[in-house]
Amino acid sequence: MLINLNDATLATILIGLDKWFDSMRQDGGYGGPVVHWWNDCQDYIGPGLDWRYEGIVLGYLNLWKLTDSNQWLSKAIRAGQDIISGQLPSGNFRSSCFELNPNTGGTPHEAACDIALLQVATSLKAMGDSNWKQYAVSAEQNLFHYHMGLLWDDSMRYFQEQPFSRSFVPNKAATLCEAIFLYAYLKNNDEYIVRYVLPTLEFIIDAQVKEGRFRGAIYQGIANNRPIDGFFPYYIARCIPALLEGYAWSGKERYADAALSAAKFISRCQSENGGFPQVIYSTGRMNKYPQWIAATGDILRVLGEARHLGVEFDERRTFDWLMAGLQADGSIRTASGFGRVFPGMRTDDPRDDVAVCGWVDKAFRYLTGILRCKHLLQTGVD
Amino acid sequence: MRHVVPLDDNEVAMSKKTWMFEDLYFQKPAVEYRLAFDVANSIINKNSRSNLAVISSSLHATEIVKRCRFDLDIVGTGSFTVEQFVDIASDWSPMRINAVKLKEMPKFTRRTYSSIIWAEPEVDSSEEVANLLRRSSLVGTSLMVVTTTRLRHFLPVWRSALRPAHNPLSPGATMRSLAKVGWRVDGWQAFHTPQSVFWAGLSRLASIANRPDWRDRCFFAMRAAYRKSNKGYRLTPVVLLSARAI
Repeated sequence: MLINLNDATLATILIGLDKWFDSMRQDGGYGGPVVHWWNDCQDYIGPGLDWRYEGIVLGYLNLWKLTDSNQWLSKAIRAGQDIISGQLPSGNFRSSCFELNPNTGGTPHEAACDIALLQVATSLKAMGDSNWKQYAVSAEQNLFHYHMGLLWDDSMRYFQEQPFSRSFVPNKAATLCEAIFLYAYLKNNDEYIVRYVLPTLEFIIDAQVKEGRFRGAIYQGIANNRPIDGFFPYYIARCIPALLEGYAWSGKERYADAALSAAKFISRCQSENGGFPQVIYSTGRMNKYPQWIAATGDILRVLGEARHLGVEFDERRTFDWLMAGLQADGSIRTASGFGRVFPGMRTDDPRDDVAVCGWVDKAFRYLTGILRCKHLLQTGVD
Repeated sequence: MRHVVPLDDNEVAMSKKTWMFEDLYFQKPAVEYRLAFDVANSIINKNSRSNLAVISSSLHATEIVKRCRFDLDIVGTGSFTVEQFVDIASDWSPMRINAVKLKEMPKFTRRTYSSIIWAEPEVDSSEEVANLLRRSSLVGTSLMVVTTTRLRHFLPVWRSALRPAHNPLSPGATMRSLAKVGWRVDGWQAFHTPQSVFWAGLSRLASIANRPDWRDRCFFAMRAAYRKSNKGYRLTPVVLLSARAI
């Protein structure tokens, strides 16, 4: 851990984020607009059961584990209840498509919700609280009926992107692998790892560039056996935790090598300002903007996890970039330069300043993971 | 786990397929419709009192159910049999949804609605429905009407077996029909503008020219030009009208 931020300052930031998340709650869960590279969702601003729950739940669990204060556990449980309440008869979660809400069947969003549920279940089970089962059952229904039931392609032996699309998207599959690891650990059953995770990890490694200037980069997707042009540093970072978990579970060096290589690629992409380009194409051209701000929490977290493999990375520079995005309401800006993607390079795009639960959660999870001084958040903050 | 939906007779006959509700729920609507329903529902979702949706098909009804956050009465027009739909969809809706028969609406409800969505007016019944809606509304009631022009036939959903409406009324004719019975159209939003078509074309050209960076930039510009308000709507496939009871 290279960040040496004053713990009191960090605690103040976290309290601000906690209050902001509370302000984003509606009946049914955390709501608000979504702005994204692929699309925006600014008219539907109701609750979304998507990957925002991953960072929110794991962030609150981080605080609970650090402080032993039940106020944080209760917020993680409340978020878990949002997901359970929004589970549809098909096992899917309501409004799980993030930038395409209120549609359902979102990937990797439902898998990210499963991670949240399974982490709550694991924590409660460890405490001897029998309520853990409801969270495990909800995740199980989603994993079995949707992911393993509809997305698993038994002939190709990977998880396809959507029931109607056979393409393979590494970062989405990686999130799902993380969920299955958690489920297998909770159930003490390695069968799911062997059957679903390991073949999927092989596909992720196949999508990785092995040599040349893009060595370590992972293609955004594979469709019709051809890579979809574009390397997104953010999405590549989302592939790394599953590879690291694969290494930890199997001891196979090839997973660690793939994770290290991907982490090194991301590190090489780091800009002077600490941000990362949005996408680099195989021609060498790129679209630098919008540069994510709140979402760099995920990159910081993942590169921190991969540091022990030997990746060198200026964490401070990106940390400062993230902190510069703090806003007066306690939230964090989504990005810099949404307008600069347009032909003509507009500079006035308000989407930059929109704080989105599904981006801020990435920063929240990271920041709760680096706090060390537990007494600052041990007592009530109201 | 699967919920078989006997959709309305017309749709089943056309599609020659047993549709499951989850098939419908899983479908992502055309972007034009998605945005129109998002905006239309934002009006209803501001209001926790009495809301009504008048709907021409199970496709549209599903989109309304996905978005509703307050109790909702639903009326079916054309061949859409709303009672069967509500039976199944209730398990999927976060809020209570009730089927209401069009002819019995004023008698059944004995109340007025404060927000109404109408998607999409059918030629055969539009005047009658507009009149009934006005009779069920107080002055100031908001009405959002999802309509389509002839360009709807370019939308994939209009080339599929399961269509959003039978014989929909154009935006202009809808406005005239509303005006006759005491609705004032305040404005409209049109989706998938000619400008966005232009940018989409440039995006494709950039892709052919092996410039994925410009492909994505033009795509961003396409998204930004996708809708416009209160200007010409004739060259757009989906138009959302905003009206008020006077």
